[in-house]
Parts: sequence; structure tokens; C-alpha cells
Amino acid sequence: MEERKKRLRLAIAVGIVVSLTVCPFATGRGQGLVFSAEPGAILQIEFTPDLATLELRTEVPSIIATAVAAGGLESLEGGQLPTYRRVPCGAIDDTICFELCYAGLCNIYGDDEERVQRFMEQVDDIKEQFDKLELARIEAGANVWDTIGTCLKSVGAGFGAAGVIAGIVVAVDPTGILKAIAIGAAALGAFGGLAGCGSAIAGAGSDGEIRDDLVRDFGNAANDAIFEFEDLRRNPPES
Amino acid sequence: MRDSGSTTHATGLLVRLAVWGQMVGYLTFGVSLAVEDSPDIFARADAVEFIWPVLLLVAMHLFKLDRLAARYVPRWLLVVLVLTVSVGTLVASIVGATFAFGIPEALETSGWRYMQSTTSITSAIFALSLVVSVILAVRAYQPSPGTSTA
Repeated sequence: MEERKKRLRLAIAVGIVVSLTVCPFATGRGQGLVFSAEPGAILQIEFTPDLATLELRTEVPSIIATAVAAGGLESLEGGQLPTYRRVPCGAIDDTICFELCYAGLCNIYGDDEERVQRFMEQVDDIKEQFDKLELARIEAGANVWDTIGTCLKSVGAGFGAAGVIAGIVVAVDPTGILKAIAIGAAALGAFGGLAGCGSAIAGAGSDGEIRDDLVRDFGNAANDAIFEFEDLRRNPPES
Repeated sequence: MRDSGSTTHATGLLVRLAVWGQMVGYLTFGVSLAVEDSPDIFARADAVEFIWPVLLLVAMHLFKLDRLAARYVPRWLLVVLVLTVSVGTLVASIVGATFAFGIPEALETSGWRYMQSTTSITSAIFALSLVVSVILAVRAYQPSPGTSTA
């Protein structure tokens, strides 16, 4: 009788301690990111075209787009990203002028030319995609940690439930079918926790699709900017 | 057959080392995030996310939860749970590493390289934890040397 009471106390202690330790955290922080400030304020990303050299150089943008979509970005020949900056117009008959650069070549054009405006829009889009890519990386890092935490907490909660049920089984000491049902319930509770782990992993896996979309948009914007640059170089606007 | 004390000891060791492995891997990646976000170290994680693993480890050793679990929870259930959570966390960290290494080389920044390093280290820790768990799970079902199987 005394032994039975001792086993009951131990079983309850296992259940309570494990549940109190793990279950309160089993809900997780959710899939969303909690930043303490605006993401942009944390990041302070500086766009440095010299750092990220896109491996693109061709006169046929559609071929590049196809290569980027097929994941062949690295296989193309190297070149720097297109950039622009405002400069004095000099001999050009315009009030606002920009220097457009790509792959070591720089030319100055007035901003009245539509192709120049399109080039600048694409370069701005490149910068935007670059920033989004960096944000996606930061979010993915948090998601990975969250996913690992969700796995540990959900299994821990299931384990706590299993511990409680197993403790009751030991304490009450049922026979035959009742014991089997109780152990089955414990296993079910434990494995139920694993569902949270699986869904969290699936959620983290979708980050890769976001990354691929951003890389594709980045490549497309670069292609369009290069197309305008090459077109302006071969057919310069009449000043 | 193996005596129950030896079996309980082996199962308890499996639980203890598995919990340690998982907590070390989890905290390692959390610290890597905090270091990257420094000085705003809690930008991507609450403080409680760093505290509960430590509390769990302390509670496990203080209340000998590993031994209690080994004694009262069915061994097969413990083994399956330990191996499943070990695989789950390893897969999660590999998903992170795959994401980090999936960026085209031309677009790599220092942040991407940092993530590649940290996810690789975390994956290695979880892989080691899984290997140890598998070995201990096998040992938990093996008869101890010198004991009669009759």
C-alpha cells in the first residue's frame, strides 16, 4: 500500500513538473515575426552595386530572363549591376541629366528621354528587390528558430501529457484493456504534438519559394535595365 | 534478459542526452540570431525563448525527470519520441541551411554567409544529437554484457 502511494506521488510529480515546464510554452510565438522596431530601422541596408555583381551580360534580354528562370544565373558571363547618378548636363541640351553605368561603361543622358527614365525605374526596382531579399533572409532565420522551438515544445507538451497518463496508469494499476487504452491515449497525445512540428517545418520550407521569387524579380529588373542601357548606347537620343 | 534497473538507466541516459542535445542546438541558433541582431539582441526572439531551455535542463537534473520518465513512461514511447523530435529538429535546421545556401552566389552578402555558417553548425549539432540518440536507443534494447539471456 505504501509502495503504491509512493508510486502515485512520483507519477504525479513527473506529470506536473513536465507539464508546468513545457506546456506553457507549447503555443509558441506563432509564425509571424515580432520585431522590436520597424524592420527597415533594424536593417539599414545599404545598396552597394559593386558588392553584388550580377552575372549578366547579353544583348538579348529574353535569353537572360530564360536563364534566370531556369536557375542558370551563375553560368552567364560576369558584369556589374546597372547604376545611375545625377550629374551636370554639360553640352547636353537638358536641365536634369544622369550618368548611366553598366559593366564599366558610363554614358550621360538627359532625363527627358523615356528610355533613361525606364532604366532608372529598373535600377530602383533592383535596389528594392535586393532589400526585400535581405528582409526575407532575416525573417527566414527567425522562422527556422521558431520551427525548431515549435518542434521541441509540441513534443514536450505531448510528452508531458504522456507522462501524466502513464503516471495515472502506474498509480491506478488497471489491468488488461484499460491499461492498453491508457497507454494508447498517452501515445496519441505525444504524437499529436508532432503534428505541430511537421506543419512548422512545412511553413519554414515556403521561405525558399519567396527567396526564389525575389531572385527572379531581381534578375528581370536587371535584364530590363541592361536592355535600356544597351539600346541607349546603340541608338543614343538626339540632343 | 536485461535487468530492469539497467534498462531504466540506459533509457534515462537516452532521455538526458537527447534533451541536452536538443537544447544546445536550439540555444546555439538562438544565440547566433542574437549576435547578428546585437545590440538589439531580442529583435527576433523573446527572452523567454532563451530561458525555458535552461529551466528545463535544471528541472531535469534537479527532479531527476529523465529517470522518472524512464521508469514510468513506456520505453518504446520514449524512444520513438526522442528519435522523432531529433529528426524533426534536424530537418528544420536543414531547411534553414538549404534556404541559406540557395541564394545565387552573385547575390551573397555577409548576412547570407553568416546564415550559411550558423545553420550548418546547428544542423551538425542536431545531426550529432540524432546519432547519439540512435546509438543509445539501440543500447536501451540490447542485453547488457555479462547478463544471461536465458
